[in-house]
Amino acid sequence: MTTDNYVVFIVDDDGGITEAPGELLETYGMCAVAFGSASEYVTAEKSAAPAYMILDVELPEISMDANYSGRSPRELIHHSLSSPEMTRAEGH
Amino acid sequence: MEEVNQHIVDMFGAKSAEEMCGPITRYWQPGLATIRHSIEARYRGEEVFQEETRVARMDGSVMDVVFATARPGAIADKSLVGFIDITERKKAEEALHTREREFSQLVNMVPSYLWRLTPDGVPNFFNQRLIDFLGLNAGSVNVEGVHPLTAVIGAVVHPGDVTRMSEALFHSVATGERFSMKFRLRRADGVYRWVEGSAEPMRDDDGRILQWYGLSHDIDDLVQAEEALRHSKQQLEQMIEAVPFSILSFAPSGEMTYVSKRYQDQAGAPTAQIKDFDALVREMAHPDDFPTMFAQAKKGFATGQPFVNRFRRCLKNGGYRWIEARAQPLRGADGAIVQWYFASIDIEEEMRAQEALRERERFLWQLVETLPAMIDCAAPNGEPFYRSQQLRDFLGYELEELDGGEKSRLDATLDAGVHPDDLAGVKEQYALSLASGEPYLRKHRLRRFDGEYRWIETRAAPMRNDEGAIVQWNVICLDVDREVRMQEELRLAQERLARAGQAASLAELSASIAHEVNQPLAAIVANSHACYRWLWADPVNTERAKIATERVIRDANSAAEVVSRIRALFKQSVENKAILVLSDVISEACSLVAGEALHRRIRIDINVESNLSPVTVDRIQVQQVLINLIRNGMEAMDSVAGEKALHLRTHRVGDEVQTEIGDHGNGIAFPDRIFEPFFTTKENGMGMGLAICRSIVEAHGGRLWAEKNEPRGARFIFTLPIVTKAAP
Repeated sequence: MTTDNYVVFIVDDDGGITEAPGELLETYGMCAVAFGSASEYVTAEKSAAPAYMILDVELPEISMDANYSGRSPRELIHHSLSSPEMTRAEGH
Repeated sequence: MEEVNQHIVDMFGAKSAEEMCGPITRYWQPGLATIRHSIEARYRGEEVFQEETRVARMDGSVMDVVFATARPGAIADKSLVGFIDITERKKAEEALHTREREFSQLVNMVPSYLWRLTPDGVPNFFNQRLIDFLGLNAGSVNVEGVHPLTAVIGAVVHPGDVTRMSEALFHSVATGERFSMKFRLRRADGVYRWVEGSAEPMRDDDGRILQWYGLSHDIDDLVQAEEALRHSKQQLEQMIEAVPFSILSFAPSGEMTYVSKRYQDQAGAPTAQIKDFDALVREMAHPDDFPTMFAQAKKGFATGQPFVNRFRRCLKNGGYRWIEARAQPLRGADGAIVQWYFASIDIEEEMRAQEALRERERFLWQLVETLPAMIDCAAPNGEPFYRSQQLRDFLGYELEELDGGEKSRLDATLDAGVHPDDLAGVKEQYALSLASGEPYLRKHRLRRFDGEYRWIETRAAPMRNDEGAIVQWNVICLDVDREVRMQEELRLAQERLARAGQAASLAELSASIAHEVNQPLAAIVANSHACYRWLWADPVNTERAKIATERVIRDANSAAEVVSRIRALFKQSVENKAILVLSDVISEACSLVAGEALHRRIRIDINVESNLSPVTVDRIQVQQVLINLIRNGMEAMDSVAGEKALHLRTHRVGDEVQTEIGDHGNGIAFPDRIFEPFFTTKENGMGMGLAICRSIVEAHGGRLWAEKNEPRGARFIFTLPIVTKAAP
């Protein structure tokens, strides 16, 4: 299995939580990139390579509620991913 | 008259003899009786007539004469008549009479008793005063066969004096020696009076005794006065010896004038060389005490002020005893010191008792000064008058430094020392205690000498006399800064816990705890997995495996730390128990859940017995038990229609306070299992709430159990033991 081209974005404000999954992903040859917040992710330079995203949906800037002012997960994914493929968001 | 000689002419102051011739009656007017007598004598045939009479001179003045006639016919037929002028003789006789009368008056009037004895001792004269005094005269006492003097002595001398008086007087009469003696004479009214009698013989030119002249002088008043004086002096001496003082007196010169018998009995009679104060005290005072007492005495003598000396004085038979000597000057009318009087009393026992007392006082003083606590003693009005070394060191000033300002010592101390935030409370409570006599206990911050405020626990209790009146306040201050800060930290932790517990139920708290633990555990799982993969990769990536392992170790420690922190939190809070009345805790708990109850439309009926006995509990923990049980009850009634009510009842049962919380829910399906950990009937419960509640109650020495409520629902009951009075 070749996974070298995949990139996994991990968006979580808890550094302890982003570190361990990133390590594990690397053992599979995936490149894990961690972001401390949604806005950090949005503003970052990202390659056009296929990507996965692990997102903490309870981040302050994220809202599952359409009426809420925050960004929805879908919106976030669409922001720059060419082939969006959503993983199940990490829950608490 | 036919012829007159010149002598007659001169005598009568006539110019010539012729002038004298004629009838003699011319000159003899005053002596007519005598002429008649002479004629009568002639007719009787008497040859010579002689009579003293008076005749008038030619100038009419009268003179005393002796008239004499010779027998008629001796010379022719003429009568011979002669005159002898006796004027001078008459004058002498008159003078003698006057002297005799004066002498007699003198003898009788002299204010003393005069008497006379014959050479044989027979009384032959008493003066009038003696006669009046005795009521008898010299010759009036006569007893047959008894010497008249013996008879008189027996009659008038006091029976006690008769023998020696009689012997002495007879001895004098026999020997001619002077008599002198004091004896008592019986007055006419039977009263005896002391007289001083003396008698001396009057002798003739040959030395023969003619008379004994005696004098007895009344000295009764004197004797009585002397007697009274002697009696009074004797009484005084007896008194001086009777009072438990040793008495000494000294002349202003320092010369010793009196040493009482008691002094001599105790200290021994001063030796012959010791004549004054200086010599005496040098000899008698203990060498260690001598300089002080001597200086004190010298000062007293110099100023004339009374003084007191306490010193050890030598005993008669060796050794020393403590005495207190008080010296007082006696001043004369002119203000000059006449005499110094010293009264000394043995104070050995007192000094020993005082020494023991001082020793005890020293012991207590040292105890107070060295106690690892700060001690303060105050008057009933709160004014401090003593502070122990520890307290003085802490505050950094001496009590006396507070004096002189406008504030009282108490206010000055509080204003300067107590933290501004605590000051009002301290003042109010302390004033309350001072007014009511209730013991005082309060923690507050107190400024240390270096400016640092430290937490102090101050306790004050009144000391009362036998009548129950407060005589002083004893105050102890303990530096509890470390404890208070620790407690403060603990309290903050507990507050966080309590906030968590009040905001969420214990079940939710458990979930939060689980999350805290879960994060490191999830990281451990991921890192372990990664490590495993690095090790099984081809080629083996030991470098990454090592990093992953290190992270596993780190996260595992982190998880363990979370667990131990939670445990410590619960453990510490158990130690934060206080004695309080449960009703307060209940009302607090109820107010915390009141909002929730309103939201759920549940009425909470509270029935707390009045005058509940206090219990020793951790307020926060018991609150959590209450809140948890109330929440459980409310949740149990979620699915119940109609009126929802929760009953809370607290009352005393035996030695315990029992609290019951009953609901009208669906009741308990598994009453035996609900207290087990992780047993839950709730959708989102962890099953920890009741288990924690039970462990809290049991940690307090109580029990928690569930019963069926009537007519339906469940009832949770827990008990807490009442504080026993004997417990400290």
